[in-house]
Amino acid sequence: MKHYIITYDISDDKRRNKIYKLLRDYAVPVQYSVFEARLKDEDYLLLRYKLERLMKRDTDSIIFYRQCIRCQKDILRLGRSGEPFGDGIFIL
Amino acid sequence: MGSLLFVGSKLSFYYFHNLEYIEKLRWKGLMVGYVNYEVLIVMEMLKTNNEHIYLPISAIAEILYCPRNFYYRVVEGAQDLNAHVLEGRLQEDRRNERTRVAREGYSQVRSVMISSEKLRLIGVVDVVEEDSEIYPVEYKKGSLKESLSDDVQVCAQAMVLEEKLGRDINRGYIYYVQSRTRREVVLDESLRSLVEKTVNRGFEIINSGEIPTPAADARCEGCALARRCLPFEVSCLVDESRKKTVRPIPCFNQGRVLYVDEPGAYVRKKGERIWVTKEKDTLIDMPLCNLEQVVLSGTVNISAQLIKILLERGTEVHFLSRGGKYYGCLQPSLSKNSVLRIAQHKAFQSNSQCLKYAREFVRGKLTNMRTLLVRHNRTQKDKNLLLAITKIKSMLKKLDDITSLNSLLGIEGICSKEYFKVFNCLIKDTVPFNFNKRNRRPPEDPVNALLGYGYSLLTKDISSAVQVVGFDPYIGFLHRSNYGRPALALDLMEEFRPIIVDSLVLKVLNKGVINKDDFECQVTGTFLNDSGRKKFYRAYEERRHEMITHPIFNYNLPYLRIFELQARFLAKVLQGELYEYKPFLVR
Ligand code: SF4
Repeated sequence: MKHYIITYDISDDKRRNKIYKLLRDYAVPVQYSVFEARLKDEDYLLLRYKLERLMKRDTDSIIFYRQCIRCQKDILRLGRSGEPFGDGIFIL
Repeated sequence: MGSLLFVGSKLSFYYFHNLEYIEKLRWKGLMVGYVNYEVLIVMEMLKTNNEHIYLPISAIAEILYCPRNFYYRVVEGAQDLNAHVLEGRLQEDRRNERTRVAREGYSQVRSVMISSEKLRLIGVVDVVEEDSEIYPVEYKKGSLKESLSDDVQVCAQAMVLEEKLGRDINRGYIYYVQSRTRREVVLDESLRSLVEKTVNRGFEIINSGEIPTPAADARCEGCALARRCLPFEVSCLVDESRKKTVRPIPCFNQGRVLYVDEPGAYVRKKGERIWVTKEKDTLIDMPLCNLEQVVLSGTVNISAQLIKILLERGTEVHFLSRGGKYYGCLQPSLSKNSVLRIAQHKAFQSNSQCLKYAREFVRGKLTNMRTLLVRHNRTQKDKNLLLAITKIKSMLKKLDDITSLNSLLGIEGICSKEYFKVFNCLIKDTVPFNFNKRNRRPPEDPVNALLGYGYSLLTKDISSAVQVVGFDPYIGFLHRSNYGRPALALDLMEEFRPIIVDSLVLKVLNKGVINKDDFECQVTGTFLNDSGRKKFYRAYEERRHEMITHPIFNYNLPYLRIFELQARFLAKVLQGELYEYKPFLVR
């Protein structure tokens, strides 16, 4: 499981919508245009693959920042923001 | 020549040896579902007629690389996937999207399906190119390297093409995607004879059903099958001197577990996410990726759409009652490992075999019971405890002389009685709970209620481990199979009862995690209430995720992986690869 911060900049509204929806299936929107996720290598590859098919290389940009465990601990969240789903146990 | 078939609008065409087989295959476009069609073809053929077994061309490289890998993929139908395999497939998929390329001087056709009657091979050539000559090109992920098994694969492709086209092919290419370079392979006599030898070896393995010994070296590092194959563990169990080489395989998945225990909640799908609502409120909206289990308890609704996608992704759905009864689970259809199920049924037919396994399950249970008592006795130094400990120990010695299942059950009964007689001593005096005797359906007191909940949760995990490995869960050795209960899961569970559930119940009681307010007494028995259940689910899952040092291999891994490990070892014993089943004994 690796931690990613994913940001995007998409020129076209329709495509941005599609990419937003796709990202939501893997990651949590923490801010406008910023997602965070904890992904297995397999899921990361799939997400990347699907994004590459949706985006337009010459006008759009999507960046994955990978965070090591130490950097994850140093993340500071001020105010109102989402948080990615951790590992383990969820009880409702 | 084979038949010609156009698939969709893609300009790729496929030669088929026999269209009938292909028609049975669903072309799923190659998205997340991944039908491994080459293997599928072989499996179909295995079923119908032994003379028409065709090996997938890609298997040639597999046999050379590791014959065991070949055995798992082709004979047992394993479709395990890891990041390496997935990456290769995605690259292949990307390539297939581009259409046919025709540059000056030569033309190129992608994804050509070919088969050979002489070599009995079938498969897809990534690219066939033609200038003055014709030659196959094989794509490999990664960067330029020399690899004999790749060479042999290209050579096999070329030989099959030769047979189809009736032309000589003298060279082939391997294209390395990462370094974007090709390497020429000259197809000489020695390479060709190696292809023939390898094909023969493949058929030998299929016909004899022998499981090749594990490689247990650097090859296993990135192997998608390591989790099923357990190369280091097996070679250590077969040969004690290799003990040092064992290390945990990093591929176990510590996925997420979602419990829904909210009366009236509705669990459904939204995009590729799981979305739980109650009335108008969203309780959770979580991506499906890396979700390992969904556990529903009580009156919770789940949509058929979600069930479908969960099964597709291999996520299990378990159903519990609020009273702690385990109803069962939804799992993807049984794995293809029919070889294992046949072995299991065979063992079930033989009394001596049944007794052999049943004895080990009981041994595991009794030893772990004793260990639990010993642990507590270290601080308590109670006379009754000591008595029970010695009694169980003396009974354990008798296990080896047992000749019938009934006397085995007798010993188990005596020890359990002794154990539960002193169980109350293990609960601290300050805790307002008492345990007199084990009772269930319905439990009469809180401690029995907790034990009942715990065993149900354990059944959930052991039966899923048993099914993941490919067993028939209803054929057991100790628990006979006439109650319509998952007998094998109950068998394997025995050794884990004391160390997972009993000790957990003691922990939550002694630490005061669960107290008087968490129970409700009804006429029908004592049960956990809403808050109590949630606390207990959490405690149980935490125990399941807890890391423990493996007593034989000395590495750390979570309990959840140990359940699977034990089930896999049992499978390997049944299939004749290991000699005896060793229960999991804690120190
Ligand atoms: S884990 Fe090792 S021994 Fe097992 S199939 Fe893979 S390469 Fe072969």
